[in-house]
Amino acid sequence: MLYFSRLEVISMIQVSHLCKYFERPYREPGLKGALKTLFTHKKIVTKAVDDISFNVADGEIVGYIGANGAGKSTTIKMMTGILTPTSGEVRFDGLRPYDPKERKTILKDIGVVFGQRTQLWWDLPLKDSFDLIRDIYDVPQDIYEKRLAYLDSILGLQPILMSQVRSLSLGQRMRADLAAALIHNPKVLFLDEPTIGLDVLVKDKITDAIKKINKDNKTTVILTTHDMKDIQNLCQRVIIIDEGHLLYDGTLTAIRKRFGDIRHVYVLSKDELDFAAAEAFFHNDVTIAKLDDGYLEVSYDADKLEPKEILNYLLAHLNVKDIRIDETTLSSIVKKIYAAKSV
Amino acid sequence: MQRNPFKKYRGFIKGAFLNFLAFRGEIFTWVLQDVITTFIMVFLWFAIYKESSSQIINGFAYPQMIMYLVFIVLSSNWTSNGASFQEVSHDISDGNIANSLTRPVSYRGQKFALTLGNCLGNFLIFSVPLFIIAMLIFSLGLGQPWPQWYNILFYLVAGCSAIVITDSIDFMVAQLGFLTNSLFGIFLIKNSVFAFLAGQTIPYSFFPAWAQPVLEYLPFSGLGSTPVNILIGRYDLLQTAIHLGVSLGWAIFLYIASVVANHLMISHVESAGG
Repeated sequence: MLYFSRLEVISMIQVSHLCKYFERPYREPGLKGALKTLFTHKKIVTKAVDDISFNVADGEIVGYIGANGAGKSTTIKMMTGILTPTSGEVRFDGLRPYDPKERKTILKDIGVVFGQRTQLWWDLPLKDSFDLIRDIYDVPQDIYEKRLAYLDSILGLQPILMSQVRSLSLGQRMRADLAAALIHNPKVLFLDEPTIGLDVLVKDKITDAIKKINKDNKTTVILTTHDMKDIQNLCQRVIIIDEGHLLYDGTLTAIRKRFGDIRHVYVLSKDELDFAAAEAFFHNDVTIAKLDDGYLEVSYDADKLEPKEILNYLLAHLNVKDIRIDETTLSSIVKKIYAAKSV
Repeated sequence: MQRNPFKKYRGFIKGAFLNFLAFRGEIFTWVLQDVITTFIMVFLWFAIYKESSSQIINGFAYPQMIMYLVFIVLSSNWTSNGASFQEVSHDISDGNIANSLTRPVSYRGQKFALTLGNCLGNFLIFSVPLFIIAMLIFSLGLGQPWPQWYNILFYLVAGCSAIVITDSIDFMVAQLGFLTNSLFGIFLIKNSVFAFLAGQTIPYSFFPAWAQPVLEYLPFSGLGSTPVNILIGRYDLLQTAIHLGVSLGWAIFLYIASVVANHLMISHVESAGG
């Protein structure tokens, strides 16, 4: 009992056995199928989210990732109260976001940025949008002004404040949208692919701002993205889902450990290398592959082998024209997880 | 702690009003189109009255008929250009509804507040000046008296209930977007049918005798016939009270219906996805 009550205090969001099934009418292809649909009530059930449980602590930044159609947005929509779960529940600070009564309280405490949509008024100067959001969330004027100055200091809003939203570049608009979601200082910020389509500089600015907001205001951040750099820059913890199932929930360090600290040496040479002999030499602790661009990829576990040993062997057997060493990126791990559908 | 529960809606009203100002150039061309249509109607009726054997057709003398037509066009300008249809259908077709639903304000309330902002913009920027110009022409050119202050007051009340009626119906029609893709076509048909049934093309007295009393008790009367007949003084105080009562009754009923439709829509979105 004690354990549970403690958990409730420290968890901002509790998701338990969450399921969301969608029913869609079954339709056969072609004209015949279309006519048949009119008279049959066959339905296909899609399990968008299937028995997912996790907790998010106050002030945490969690990366919520998965391939397209994995159920990320559906989960976010249930956490923000837009969708009602088929079964299971979400507790936001103890309240259910999809309950019509409890929802009113919760909506004041969340900020949402959907990367491909905007909540700004398209045809008005940005400042007007901010003023309107101030009214909608009933933020007192003095607090609003301080908040705007703070957001300006981390997102650089001043130069675009008087511009019409429709005239902003995607990067400027994204900064503005992030600021708009934060004017009422929400406890939790949901970011659904916030860096989609942005250039590297703007991405950095956005991730830096999110980090700072999290640090300064203890804002809990839940982030979905396809960009593993965002995850690496922002999150200590990552939740991976696929086809509605939870595949992994843990720290980035742990997932790296589980997949081993794999490094890759890439060499370019005209000489042929005997793969079997080389792999035998290293007791099968290396794998070698020839890439499309002509490079040889030698992968090894950094816990078992030293780069020196690999390089010595390669330099002794090949006339090397070019060489480079890479570590395994998070994205290659995630690619493996998506492909294997397990961790 | 919410200090003023209406303040959040004020944000939407103000936003729509400011948005209206941003589009004033575009809207001006619509108004110009209305002015041209009105001129054509004036000349058409001029020809009809000239050819007619009597000075009065179906209870309307020529100046009254012209006033009726001009005021009904001006009225529909500020009472029927709400935001609900466009907003809701856009939310449904583009899946944009998620953003609206994450705001701590009722969805129906948001859309109605946007409509109020639009209508207020239309009223202040176009309708008031055009009403004054029209009245100057009627009094100086056609020798018609200015409306009584109480007629103007009742007209404004009737106009407000017209806003509620139109917006509530638009809100509900837009939800057909869940079923069909040809929503804009349906909207245009709805507009033409409503304009006809509201007496915007011809006054009710030109309709068959059996249809007149029926139409007067339907919500359409509140969109054109009632406010304009009140303004040009064709209703006495009792008739004004009855017609205004019918309009207000329909406004309340349809707004409640739209709130119910809103709940159904939200629960559809919640269970079936946006």
